[in-house]
Amino acid sequence: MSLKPGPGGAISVESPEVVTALLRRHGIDPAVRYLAVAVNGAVVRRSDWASYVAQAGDIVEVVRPFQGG
Amino acid sequence: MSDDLLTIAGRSFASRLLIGTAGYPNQQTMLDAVALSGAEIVTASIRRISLDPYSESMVDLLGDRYRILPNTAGCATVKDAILTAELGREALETNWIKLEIIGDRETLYPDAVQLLAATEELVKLGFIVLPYCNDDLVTCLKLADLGAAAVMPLGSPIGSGRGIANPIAIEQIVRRSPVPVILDAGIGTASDAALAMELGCGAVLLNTAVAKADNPRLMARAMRAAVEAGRLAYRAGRIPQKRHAEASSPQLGLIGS
Amino acid sequence: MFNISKPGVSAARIAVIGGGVVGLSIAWRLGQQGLAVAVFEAGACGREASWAAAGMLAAQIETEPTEEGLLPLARESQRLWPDFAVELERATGIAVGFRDEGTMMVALTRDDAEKLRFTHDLHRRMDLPISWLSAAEVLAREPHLNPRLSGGLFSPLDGQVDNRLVAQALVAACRKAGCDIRENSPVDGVEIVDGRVTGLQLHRPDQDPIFHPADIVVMAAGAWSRGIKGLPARSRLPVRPVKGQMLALRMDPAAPLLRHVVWAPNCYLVPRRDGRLIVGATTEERGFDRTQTAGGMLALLDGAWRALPGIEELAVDEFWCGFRPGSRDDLPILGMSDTEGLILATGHHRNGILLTPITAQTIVAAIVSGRIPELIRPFALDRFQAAAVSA
Repeated sequence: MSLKPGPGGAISVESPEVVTALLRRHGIDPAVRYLAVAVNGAVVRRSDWASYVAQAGDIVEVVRPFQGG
Repeated sequence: MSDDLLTIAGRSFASRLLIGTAGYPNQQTMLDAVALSGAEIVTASIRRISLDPYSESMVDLLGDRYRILPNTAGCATVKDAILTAELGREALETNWIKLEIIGDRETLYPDAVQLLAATEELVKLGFIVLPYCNDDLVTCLKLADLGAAAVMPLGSPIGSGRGIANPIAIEQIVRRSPVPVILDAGIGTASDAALAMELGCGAVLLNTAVAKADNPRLMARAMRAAVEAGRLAYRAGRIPQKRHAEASSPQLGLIGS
Repeated sequence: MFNISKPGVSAARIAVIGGGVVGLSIAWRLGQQGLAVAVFEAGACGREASWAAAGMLAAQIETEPTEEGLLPLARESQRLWPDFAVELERATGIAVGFRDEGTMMVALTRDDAEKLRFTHDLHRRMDLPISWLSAAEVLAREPHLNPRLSGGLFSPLDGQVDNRLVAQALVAACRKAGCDIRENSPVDGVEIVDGRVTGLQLHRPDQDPIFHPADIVVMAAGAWSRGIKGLPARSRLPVRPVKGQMLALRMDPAAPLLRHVVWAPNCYLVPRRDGRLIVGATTEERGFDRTQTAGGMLALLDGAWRALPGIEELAVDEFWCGFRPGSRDDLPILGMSDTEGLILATGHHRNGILLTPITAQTIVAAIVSGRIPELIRPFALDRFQAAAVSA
């Protein structure tokens, strides 16, 4: 993944967890606008966050638009 | 100038200036400069979320008022660019993407081979692709062939402020490209932006020229005026450049002689 | 409209959130007038930005094109500094190292010289008494600077103060003036009822917060100001931490390599009387990350070495980092808010030490009179709520 780190890194999942719960546990409010999530390099759509279960060992990227040219 | 709209992928825009959001001294300066530029499209990168509740997010401050065009800055491979484009689509609910795949870290020149491959793939996935590319006619024509919605040749290296290094190349691209040509990278000051428009470019995309100017707000106003002036001059049809002088005042009815 | 005549200022209980130089100086001035003040500091007083700063007093030479609005406030504060320093020293016996022998800005390459000329033009347009120096003139004043430098500026009205000693003196002065200083007392939030402050919610680990009643609350929490809960959404302060890494080298105080504060193209150098040479500073938007990075050290040492090659021989005394409180436009947030009884004194960015005397003076005047002094009106919070944009 080429994303430069923000103050946090990619999330490494330890035990199976639904995306919304995972986000909340990392201090991210799932209702925040302009968020996108990818698990192991594949986008998980917002409409699936409440049902998609990330497995142990999965790498989760949570991104947002940022300054750029 | 409501009769001279810029049309990209079926959407029309009154402003022919696209502006970036990076490198401003502070958020307020960025907001003011973007507003003063008259731009309707602003670019953004896609980055890991900052968990810091103290930082004010650019997208929250701008998101509702501008069309935000995500870029694939930082991507060196086709795979990364595609994932970033998909994340950008998801985050911003837009299928527009500014595609940049850098081939050399020193000059930040695009990697044409990867660019073509990524464009082909992204177009198949339904994206509206705006690729940042070299000022090379052949690459631009190939990108357009693959379905890019515009081509965005560089004027000179990103952030260099050197203006348009090869105006003839840009002119050739303008003449032959079936899609809008947006001059992207290297603009330093207003005359560079005006020149791009005089050469026939459909639009100009800039960031550093405004963000790092000593007074970004003034420079944003300057760039807005320059893009408008250059476009009017282009449409007005300039006089040819001649080798010899030709007096402008009439030669008849002269006093004396 | 803010009105503190009920219950009356003299009987008001005032709470200051933040024990840095801004909070402490406000508390000191209030205490001097016999008012009941408590200062709540999350850690130890004066150990965040107040500690990390370099203490440059440079209203003149530090003027940036996008910060012209700050100049009147900055100049007035600088004007107040000599007396402020003397008063502090008299009240506490602690000498704060105020120095006013002037500040220099130097250009190393031709590109630097061109940028410096532009800066000088800006200074001249604003009628600042700053003069251009040739390379020879710069070296005559500071012989150890890089002999290949290309020119410089001299600002006679600028100088420095030892900010750590200022913080120390302010704590002592506050105590003498009868203020209640509560260290290790983080504030969770401000309690607001019907648009008026009623007090603070003080943090207690693993327990419910404890309520501290107050009629007036001064928000001087610096980089942490946005995180204080309880404020209405409209008044949420657009302040973020702007990280700065710095270091100090040790010169021989009897034969210092530098006497003036010097701004070089990529760092500033602040020589203290005890021989320490402060080198600063990086500017990083990384939240509250306290890592001292190799890149940060490299940037500082490289910048310092290019300007002052003799630092090669100096011992590294200390390195640290701090968080400047940066607002959305990098200008301070001073004055009232929509909430009665809540006064704002934050967002000082890289000018906290410089702006301490004028902040204390104007904020205390606002509290006592109920009216905002003209000088700080441009720094009201509501400027971020206005839709108008100007160039």
